[in-house]
Amino acid sequence: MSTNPQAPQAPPHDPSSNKQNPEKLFHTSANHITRNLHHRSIIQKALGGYYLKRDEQKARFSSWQNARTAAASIKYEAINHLDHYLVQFADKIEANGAKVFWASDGSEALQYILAVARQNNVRRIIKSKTMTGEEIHLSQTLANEGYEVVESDLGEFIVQLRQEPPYHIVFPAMHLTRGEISSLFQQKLGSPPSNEPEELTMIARAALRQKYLQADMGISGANFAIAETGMISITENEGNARLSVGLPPIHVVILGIEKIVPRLQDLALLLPMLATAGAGQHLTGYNTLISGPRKTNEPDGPEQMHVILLDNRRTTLLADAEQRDALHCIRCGACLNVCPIFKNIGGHSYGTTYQGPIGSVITPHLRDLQTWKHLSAASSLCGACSETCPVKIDLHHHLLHNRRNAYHLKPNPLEKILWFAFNLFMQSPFLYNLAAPLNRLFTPFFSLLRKTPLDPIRNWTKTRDFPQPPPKSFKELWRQRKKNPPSFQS
Amino acid sequence: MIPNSNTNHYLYPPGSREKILCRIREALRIPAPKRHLKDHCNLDSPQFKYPQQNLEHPYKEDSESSEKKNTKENLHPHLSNHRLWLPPVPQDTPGKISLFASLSQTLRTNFQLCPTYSLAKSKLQQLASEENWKTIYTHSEEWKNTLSTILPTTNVLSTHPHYDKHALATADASITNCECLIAQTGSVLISSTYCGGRNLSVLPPHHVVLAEVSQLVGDLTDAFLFLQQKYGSNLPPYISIITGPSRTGDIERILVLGAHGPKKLSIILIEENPPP
Amino acid sequence: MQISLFVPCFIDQFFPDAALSIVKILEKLGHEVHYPEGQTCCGQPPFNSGYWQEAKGAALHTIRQFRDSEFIVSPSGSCGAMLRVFYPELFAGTKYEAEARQLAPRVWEFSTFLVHKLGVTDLGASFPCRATFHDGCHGLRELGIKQAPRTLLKHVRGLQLIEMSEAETCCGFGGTFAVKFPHISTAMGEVKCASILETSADCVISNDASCLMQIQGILHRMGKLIPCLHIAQVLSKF
Repeated sequence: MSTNPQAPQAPPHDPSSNKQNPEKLFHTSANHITRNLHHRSIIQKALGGYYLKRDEQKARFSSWQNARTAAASIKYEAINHLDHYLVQFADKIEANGAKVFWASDGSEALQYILAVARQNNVRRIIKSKTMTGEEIHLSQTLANEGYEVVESDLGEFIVQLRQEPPYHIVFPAMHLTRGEISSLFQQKLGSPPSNEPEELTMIARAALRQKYLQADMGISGANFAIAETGMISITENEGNARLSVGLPPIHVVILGIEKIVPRLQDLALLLPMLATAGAGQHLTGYNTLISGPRKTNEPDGPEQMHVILLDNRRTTLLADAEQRDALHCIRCGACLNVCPIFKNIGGHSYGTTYQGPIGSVITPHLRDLQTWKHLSAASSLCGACSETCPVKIDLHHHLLHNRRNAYHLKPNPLEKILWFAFNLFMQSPFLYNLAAPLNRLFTPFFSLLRKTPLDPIRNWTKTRDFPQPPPKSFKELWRQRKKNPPSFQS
Repeated sequence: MIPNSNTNHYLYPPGSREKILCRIREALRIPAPKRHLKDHCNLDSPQFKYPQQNLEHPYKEDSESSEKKNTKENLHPHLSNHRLWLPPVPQDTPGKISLFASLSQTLRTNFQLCPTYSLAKSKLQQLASEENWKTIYTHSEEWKNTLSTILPTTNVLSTHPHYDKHALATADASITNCECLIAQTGSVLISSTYCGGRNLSVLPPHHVVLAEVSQLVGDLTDAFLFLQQKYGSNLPPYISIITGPSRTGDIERILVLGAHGPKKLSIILIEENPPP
Repeated sequence: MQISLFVPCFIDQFFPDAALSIVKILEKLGHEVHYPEGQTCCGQPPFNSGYWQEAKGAALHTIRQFRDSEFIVSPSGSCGAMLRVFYPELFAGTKYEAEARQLAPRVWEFSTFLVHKLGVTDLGASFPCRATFHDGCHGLRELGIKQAPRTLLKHVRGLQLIEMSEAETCCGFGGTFAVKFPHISTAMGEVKCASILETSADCVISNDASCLMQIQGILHRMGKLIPCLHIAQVLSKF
């Protein structure tokens, strides 16, 4: 029996290891998954409970809407004075004995972590969930260098065993059923089959227990960094992060520079909001504030603490004043949970570290606009994301801004001509009145082409009926009515 | 361990502090619109307006003033605002206790309200015999001695600076004090320096907290204020706000207790003042 | 009072009955309906596709059409939002910004105009059916419309309103999105229609005709010939 999970080498969905065009991959995967009714029902069922609990917790707030504005104001203040607060944070936490490393990009961060590991003869690493780590492919890199890397969050542990990236930034394994997890555990851990989530959880607990005690290094992310007190704050439910950062002799924490908040008291608002928006809890199980390695008046704790502040093109997003509020994100995942696109195409179709609306907004900034603009196009702009966001990021409007920016720099020639002509016709009532009746003229002809490749609107008619145009447009009816005004006595 | 900053310079890459700060300052030259304060069109109730003035953080630029005078107002001029939006908390102690009790129930925390110390003792004895505690850990020598007399058949150990973490992992339970309890969220706030380190409250399968009613504060705001008043700017290096036993929903979003941390959290709240 | 009617292009072409019903209702209430005949399209299709430059001509044309109108009423929340919310953003920083800002507050969606501007809730309509109501996303989230259409429907004789579980979930139309990503759009529509069928309603009502086109298209393809009506069509049954 092996309790040693193999670290993923190159996840099949990882776009950086794949030469194929992300847009093509997106279409292929999305088309495939949207037809998978089993997937649809799993996600609907998993989120059904979330909606109930979230609404229950929101209702406990004296004013959830005002709390959102206040939370957004805190993040606005932090992000728009980022240099000031980052320096304050770094100075404070260094004064408490931690070492701060400012990483311009993923490779700088990785080099530093590898240097720490080498310097301290590290062999075993226990990791608690960090999306920033996912962003720079931390686990794979460390595993490729020969380190044993174990994910300790249950969901992350499961997807690590399956060698796939997290499905959702907060619920990494929400696409799997207990049956699938049971057979995975049987196969990889040699455990007996089980149909009970509780038993399956206990199998993972047992498999990981010794890992915490044996690890030479613990790696975590952080949900907030408090400038005033020089603390990082980690939010979790399972206790795996506390064990990962409390037991090994070295604690490495990696966080994006946007995680900063000015004051300790800001957490009094942000922690309950994160819990409510993220999982429908009034407060997450453990919120742990750490401001340095073990001190002399402590019985335990790591001897070393390394804090990695990662830019990795966040400053590119920061420079876009219009979309700067996307850096307010507290990674609660609420926008994914309400997004009808996410629910239908699933987290893996995105091919990004951050899925859902927030991922579609920020990925073009963190990677490349032209390669990732299709994510912003793949939205009905319904606005459910912006409505639910606890820090009021104007997500769906930013999708629109990404579209505008992408096509402004590099228009699609065919679309450009189409919209140019459209614009021309719509500016002129004469041309509009000339062109509009053609619609009624051609539609009967088109219906003959249904189900053939010649159908000009086959993207609609393949799956949906198209309405028969009425014999007269409103304009014609209006003119008719003006000629013979009806009498109103009813 | 002797920190050796000289060798660090050779072994570790230098980092890009100035480069990043420079990029940030360059980016921030254009101010961002306050999109979160934008008037949302609300045709359904055209009179409705968010009370925007109160929602903006009235920050003071100098954070130094907080260290001069630790009054509530000086520390946090915006405190009252947070409270306006967060879940309400009763002002009186019985109200706080009953809120804490009801939240404990939802969290599946084993919450026991004991009017006297002797009742609390018997609760502990009951837990010990029910779960057949062989070895337990606590945070201080003083508590170790007291608990040894209360639980004569249990081996009580403490997390002194050289304790064995492997032994702690196999202990039956841990019993600790806490910095405070938080009524609004049903939480226990512990610190590493006051409550026996970073692992005591998370490694054993059952965490028992003993607290007095005077330790029960209203909300997170009060809890942070309490810490800042107790420690000034010298806060403990590790603080954890514990809300219920360890839990997960990672398998089909079904709640399971005891994912990695304690499967059970017991809070014994004593109403009586401590015996002299 | 004189009320100007803004009829978006696809309502003009595909759902003239909805616009005509509004005319009937407003005239019945004793108002004079003005319809600037030069109007075409608000420019939302190129705008939402990211071609803002190509949306400006149509947008400016629309602004000019309604330059002297005191109240502009639209049967579509989506196109109403374009005029009210997005024109100021489209023209921000240009010499037309003032015109766009001046237009915005005069634009109303039909149901909220009745309830909040005219103070009318009962039109004396009668339409016996079990109906469910779909909130168009732009109306719901850009314009903040939720209660007004329900208030109006409550006063329709014989109409029983059954809320569906996914009332606020997008139907998947989303303009050009529906043809650029047909599979995602259809899957979203299927979820919506499943929720509609769950209510066993015999009629779907919405305040946005574009959503109705999507919902109807999918319901019909499923073989469920449930009528999909614009709210004005129901309210004009007096």
